This record gives sequence, structure tokens and C-alpha cells, in this order.
Amino acid sequence: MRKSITEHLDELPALVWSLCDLLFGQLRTDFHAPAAQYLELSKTRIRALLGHDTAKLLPRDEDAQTSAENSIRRIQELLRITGIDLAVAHLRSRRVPEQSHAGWLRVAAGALYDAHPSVIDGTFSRWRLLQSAFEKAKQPRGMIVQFLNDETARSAPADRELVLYRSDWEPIVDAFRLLDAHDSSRHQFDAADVIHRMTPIAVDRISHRVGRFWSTHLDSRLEEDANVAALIESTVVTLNLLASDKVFAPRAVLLIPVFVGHERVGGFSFFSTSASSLDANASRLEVFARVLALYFATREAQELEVQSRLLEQLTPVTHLFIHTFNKAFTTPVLNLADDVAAIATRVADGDTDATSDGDRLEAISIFLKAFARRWAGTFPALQFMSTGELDGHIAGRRFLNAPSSVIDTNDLAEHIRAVFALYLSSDITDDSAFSSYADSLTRMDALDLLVDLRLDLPETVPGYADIWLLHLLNLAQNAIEALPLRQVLEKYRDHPALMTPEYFLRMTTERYEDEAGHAWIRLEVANNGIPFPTDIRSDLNSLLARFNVGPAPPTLWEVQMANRANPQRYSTKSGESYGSGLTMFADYLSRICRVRIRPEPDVPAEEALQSGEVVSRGSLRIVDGGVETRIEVNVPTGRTVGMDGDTVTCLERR
Amino acid sequence: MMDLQSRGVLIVEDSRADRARFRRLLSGTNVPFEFAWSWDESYAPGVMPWFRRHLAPTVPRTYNNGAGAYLLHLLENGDATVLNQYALIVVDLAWSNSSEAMMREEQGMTVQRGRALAKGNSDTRLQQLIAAVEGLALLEWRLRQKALPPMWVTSAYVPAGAEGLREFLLVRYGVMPEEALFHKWMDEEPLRADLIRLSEQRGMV
Repeated sequence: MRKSITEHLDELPALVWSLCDLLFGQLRTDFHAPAAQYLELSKTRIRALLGHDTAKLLPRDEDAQTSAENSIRRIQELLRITGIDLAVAHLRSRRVPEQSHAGWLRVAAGALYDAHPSVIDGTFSRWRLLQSAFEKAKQPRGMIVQFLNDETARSAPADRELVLYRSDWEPIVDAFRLLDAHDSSRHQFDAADVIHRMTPIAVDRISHRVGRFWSTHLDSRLEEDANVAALIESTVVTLNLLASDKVFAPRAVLLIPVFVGHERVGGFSFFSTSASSLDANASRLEVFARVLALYFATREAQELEVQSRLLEQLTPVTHLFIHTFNKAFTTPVLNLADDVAAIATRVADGDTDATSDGDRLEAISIFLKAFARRWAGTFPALQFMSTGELDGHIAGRRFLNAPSSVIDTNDLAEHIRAVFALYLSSDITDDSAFSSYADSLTRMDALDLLVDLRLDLPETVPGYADIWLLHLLNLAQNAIEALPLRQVLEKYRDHPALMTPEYFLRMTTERYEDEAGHAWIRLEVANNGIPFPTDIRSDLNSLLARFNVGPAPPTLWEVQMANRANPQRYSTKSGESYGSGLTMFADYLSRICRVRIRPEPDVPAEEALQSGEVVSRGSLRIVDGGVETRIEVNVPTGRTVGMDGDTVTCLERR
Repeated sequence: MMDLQSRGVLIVEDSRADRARFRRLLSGTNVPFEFAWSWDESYAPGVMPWFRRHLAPTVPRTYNNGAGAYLLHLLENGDATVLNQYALIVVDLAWSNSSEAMMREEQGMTVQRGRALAKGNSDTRLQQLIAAVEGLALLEWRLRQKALPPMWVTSAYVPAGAEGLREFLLVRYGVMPEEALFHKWMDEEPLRADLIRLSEQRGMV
């Protein structure tokens, strides 16, 4: 049995979905193009989805190309047998502000378009359409506007039909002609220009005629001229074609607004000489319109999301890098430059104090050298840790053998001392009650007046030394910032030189084996400042534990987003910096993993490693340290050989 | 006339780097200044502890309704006469991560929105901003207490392009002349020059 026209249209949604995938699936970097360029690229694709044969955008792959060509021709055929001579997509791009005229992508295709492309394209480029049904529709249901010649007897129109007779639409078409004759040089028209050229009686008549229809279909009640403006904008293509004698009544247009939830994402208009054909096929065409509009909206939103995630997510090491450098390097550099300039001026004036100025210059020198070394060491590590496209020989590899690094305690201690002398100490002296400390706290040994710094880090650790040093520096800085120094400062205020440290900051490492015989390094950072309150410690520990769960831990970005609603969970210490620093460290540690490999004959070791299974990850937690703050880090280390496979410590690239 | 030389400037600035910048800018000038920066009894130092210590040391340390609301609470329930010891108060707008985030959101507001927000006393967003953004709460307090010294704003959120936010500050806190809005640190030279000029006006240098 032969299929009816309506039944033919049933295949449209699946056809469009596959074609969308073929045409938009190709777009990758194009999604990141500037809005105008991206919309231009989308135009040709959407035109193809409306059945316009556009060879140059077809996929390069031969099979895909054939499939796309067949789909386009089929869509063309289906629209043609439905009696549609023009289809227009009106899509709202999310890349430009909502109220902007430029945010609408309006694309036409069909026999009428092929015959009069400049008239139709010109309509969209010259008309400001802000009152149209696609801007104001109340519900996602189609509307049909008919342009008839005379008031021949016919049955009452359905709710969704607006019937206009020649006496209704001709005054508008005449106004279009006047506008075209007298204002053809203008770049932009709007409905008010047309209304201005109509007689008040004609405006009243048409307003009365369409008022009830719009009140049912649009979400805001329109007054007189606005009723006419909404009609003009919603049917501007037909009116323009009638005015330029490119088409003649009877004509009909089916308007299909598309919603996602309550958001209007655009709409489609289908044009024909036969309203009954549009009416009969409206529900199929609605599905077609929704599929296409939703695909466009979803794909664009998805790509924009990926783009913004790329910007926000970065890799955790990049995060740390930026955080630490901004916090402890970039910002104070301006002040260091002034410091050096001030000393230079004093030297030139012969007014220098060799001891204090020498001390200050030494601190600056250590500070700059330490950061320069971190910078040099961290950049190559960043390339290895992230899965970018510029990785060369390690592209595609998930696991890399972890390097073994010595933590240079002298280097770390000097770095911490320099950061304190040049930067942190101003937290003390900016309180006018403690300005007497200014002279004592600018020297390299300033920290030692307040804090007994004990670094005992004999064990080598898996991973990159400079990344470890940056994390430990960050932790030390947060710990120092959170020390409750008020009482000590009060005690020695009048005699700063007599100050002796009442606080300690200790970092230690030890090596141990778990019950399965796997080796671990435990690193502890402790101080006798105020411990984390129990509820904060518990909250923060559950946050930190998230990095150590399952085969694919969440990204730092995901954890931070989840925590955004409740940033107090990060800690009450040193703003949110302490908790934020711990989270970044936990993310890095989770990439240090023990991977079990099951070697097979003829499989190279490197390939076997890539198909290995993560059995444990590095982690971090805040230990209940009584009156101390204690952070405990555990990282797997070494290799084992066993019956159920070998294990090796790796860095996981993400 | 502002007796800057004898009473000095109170700089309300939470960022360590920005305080250092102020120190550098004003060193070598005769502008007397002090930071609103103080150590808490048990915790780390900050701007809020300064207000608490000098205005209302017995008010409990709770921020449940937002830091701005807490500051207003301190100002309303404490003794704010300490502020009259200064000839001028230089105010940073946001002193915490959450208020920084709110200011970032408002940086792109249009001039129209800025004007409407400034006049919309019952505007929910205005109330949210005052409750959260400490510097705005201080300016709000100044609005109600005309006897306080003038307040200038130095903020990273008021570059020339942030027209809406600037409009909001100028319309709502119109006691300030426009030249009292300074971007940190694109306007550091004008700020420095204005402070020196004011301190010299009394011929006390």
C-alpha cells in the first residue's frame, strides 16, 4: 500500500537527527570561533537541514558524504511533496545577549528561496524583529496565518488559524511597497515604519482583526499598534514577497515556536500555497522543527560548556601554579621592585644601612631565585601531567612512570622564610598596635623569631620535585597565616628583640609498608596553632576523600563547583585559602597511583602499563591532632612483583 | 575643610598586596595614614577585627547574615566615634572571597541598571549587596550618618569601563565627588596626588 504524504513525514525526525550529527559532528574548533563566524558556519548547515543542497560543507569521508547527500535530498523531497515552497529556521544563539537582534540566526531554504534568495535574505538583514511570534509565543504550539483573496464562505477557522482577507492584508502590503519606494536606501526597517504608512482606519481594523488571536497565542496582552506590529513581524517574509509580486494569494505560513522548558530557543516557519496541507502536516513538522532546534541549542550549549570548563578547569597543577604565583609572587613583585629602587636611591645618596639593606636584598634575591626555579621545574611537569594535544610521544598515554624526587629541605626552608620576610610579615606590622615589629620582621630570619621551622624530609617522593615544593610552600604559607599570634605579639611588643618562637611548623616523611607489602610514603605537616574545628575538619575530609574514590576521581573543577554553594567548608583558616590549597594538593596526590599490570607475552611493557588497573592513589586528610593542626599525606611508592601481577607507581595523566 | 594633616587617613583594605602598594605609594609623602587592620584575640588579623575591636569588642563574632550585615551590626551597636578621628576614610569595597564574587557579577551592569539600583531602596539585589559586600555596608552607614568623615572608594571593580557600577556608587553615595572613585591601580597616581594635595591645603606641611 502506498504511504500517504503524512506518513512519509514520519521519517523526518530520525533523518534530521542523523544529518545533524553528520554536519555538526564535524565542527570542533569552529565552535570556538567568534560568534559571528560561528553563526555564519551554522547557516550553511541549517540550510542543508532544510533540504538545500550545499556541496561544500559535506563531510570529507566518502560514505558520510553520500549519506548526507541522500538525507538532504530526502528532506527536500519530503518538504516538496508536502507543498512547502519555503522553510525558515529562526534560531536564537546563546553566544550573544538575549535581546540583541544579532543573536538570531534566520536561515531560509526551498524552491522560493532558490528563486528569490536576495529578497528573502534581504528581509532578515533589514528588518528588526523583536515583536514576532517567536519572541512572544505563549505555548509551543503552531499557528497558521492565511492570506486569502476574498471572503469566500468557509468553515470557522480553528483556534490556531488566523485568516486574513485581501482587505486585511492589502493595506499592509501597500505600506511595504511605499516603504520600498521611498526608503530603499535605509539599512533597517521596523514594524512602526509600516504602520506609519497605513491609514489609522486600516490600522484599527487589522488590530481588531488580530487582537483576539494574539491574546490566545502570545504571552503578553498587546495594545492596538502592537497587535499590528506582531502580525507584520511574524509574517514579514510573506508580506515582503506579496509586496514585491514574487508570490500571490492564497498563501499560508505555519509558525512553530520551539521551547526548551520555558526558554524560547527559536522557531520555524513553513510556507505554502495550501493552508490545509500545512494544517494536516503540522504535528509532523512540529517534531521536525523541535528536533532541529533542540539539536542546535543543545550542541551549542554543550560546546560552550566545554569551552568554559576548559577555561575554568585547567589542570590542577596549572591551578596551583596560578594560585601560588598570584598569591605569593606576581602581586608582591611590584612592591619588591619599589623596595629595590628605594635601596638604590639610598645607596646613591650615601644613606644606606649596609646591614638592613643587605639583608633585604638577600631576601629578595632568595625569593626571586626560588620562584624562578619553581617556574622552570613546573612548566615541563605541566606538559607531562595534562592530556593536551602537544604531547608528542606521550600523547594517548594515561600512565607515566613516576619520577622519584628529593625534597630539598634547604631550598624549601629558604623559600618559606623569604615569603614570610617579604610578604606575610606585613600582616603583623600593618596593625598599628604592632608597628614596633617592623624592623625585626623584614630580615631573612624573621620567621624564626615567631616559628620554629622543622623540616625533616629524608624520603624521596614520587612525582615532580617542584610541584611538591609549590604545594608544601602553599601549605606552609596557609599554616603561618592561620597562627594565632596576637598574644605573642602583645607579649614582646616593647622588646621585639627578645622574642623567641612559641609556635612550630613541622614537616616530616617516613616510609612504611601496608599489609599487602606495598610501600608508602607518609608526609606530615603539623603546627601548634589552632586546630581545625571538628565540623570543618569532618566536612573538609569528606571533600578531600572524593579525590580518592573510584577508577575516575572527579576533577578539581567538579569538586570546586560542588563546593561553591558552601565555601565555608573549605575552612575558617586564612580565608578559604587553607582548604582550597588542601583540595588542590589532594587532586595532585590522587594522580600518583599504584597501577597493577598483568604482563603478557608479546605485549610491550609500556602497552601493558596503559591497560593497567589503579589499585590505590595518593591521598590527604586532616588528622585529629588534639591541640595541633596535622595534615597527613600518603602516597604509594616503589614496585612490587606478585602472583596477581606487578605493581608500579605511576602518574596518571588527565 | 578636610584636616588631613592632623587627623590622617584611615585605609580600609584587606588585601596584603594592596596594603603594601598603599604603603609604597604614600612613603616619602607627608600624608599620615593608618590601616584598619587588627589582630583578633584568637584568630588571624583582618579588617573586620579592626572594626570589632575599635567599635564593639563585646559583639559576638558571627557572620550568619553576611559580612556586610555583620559590619552594619557592629556600626549600629558599637561606638563609631573612632572613625571621626580620621579626616578621610579610603574604602576598599570587597574584603572577602564571597563579596569579591558578588562585585565581579555587578561589574558589568549598565548605567541604567546602576542608576535604578542606586535609587531602589527596596531592591532585593541592593539589599543582598549591602548584606554581603563589606565596603558597601560601610558606605551605606556613611549615608545615614552624615557626620562621619568623607569616604573615598579604591577598588579593582571600578575601572572607567565599569560605568554602571560607577554610576551606582556616585548616585547612591553622592556625597562623594566623582574624583573620589579610584581604580586600583590604574588610578594610583591621581590618588597619590589628591592625597598629597589635600594634606598640603592647610599649609601644614
